[in-house]
Amino acid sequence: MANKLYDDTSVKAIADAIRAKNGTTNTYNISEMATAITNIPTGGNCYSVDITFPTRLRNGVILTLPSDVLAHKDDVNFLMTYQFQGDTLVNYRSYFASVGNKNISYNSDHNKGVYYYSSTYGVCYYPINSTDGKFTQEGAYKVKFYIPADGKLYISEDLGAGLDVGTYKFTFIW
Amino acid sequence: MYQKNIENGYITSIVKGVNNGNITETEYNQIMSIIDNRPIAPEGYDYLLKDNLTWKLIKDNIAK
Repeated sequence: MANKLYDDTSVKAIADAIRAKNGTTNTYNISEMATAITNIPTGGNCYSVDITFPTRLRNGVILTLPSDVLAHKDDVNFLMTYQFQGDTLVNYRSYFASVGNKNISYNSDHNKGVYYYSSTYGVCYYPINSTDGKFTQEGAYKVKFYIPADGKLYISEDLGAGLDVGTYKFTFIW
Repeated sequence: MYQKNIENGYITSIVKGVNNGNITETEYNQIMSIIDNRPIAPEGYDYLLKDNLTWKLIKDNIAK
């Protein structure tokens, strides 16, 4: 195999492009780049981050989103999932939610499901119930996620637990 | 890359793995260490983390 010289600016640009696609901060040797590119998911886009809250967050800024995610926040298929990374099942939550112009709700008694929006702070039904697999009506606590013009993801809650102290993995898919 | 989000002088979240960072890894680790050693608030109270990395005790009047 012949050794060649390449502009390191170009090599860094390739690495930056890989990181932008796979949403990581990994560093790559040239020999690792082909594998990293092969492993980039196709048929969709995904942006995943670990968010830590020092205080239970019921109302406020969760995340400042990058421009490539913001460009799709109003897409009909734009989804957000979030999952608490703690050890206790009491605090385990994993949700699929539509963000942007849609309001979503969750029930603190359930730890996973797909949430369907019906009205602001209104009744919300979700088709997957981790307990019995049936459609179940929304409970007492209602939470709204929204992304206004400043490009930040906010949480706004009526009453209830909000986002616990600790680390969540938030994933955006479009 | 790492990100810190602030609202009204309080840190609402810190983030790892962003494309649009505004803090260094060192600062992120420093804040995480402070969060990991969070003081325990008395019943009916909670702590907010100020941007100067000190805790402020507040009355928590929302049901958990």
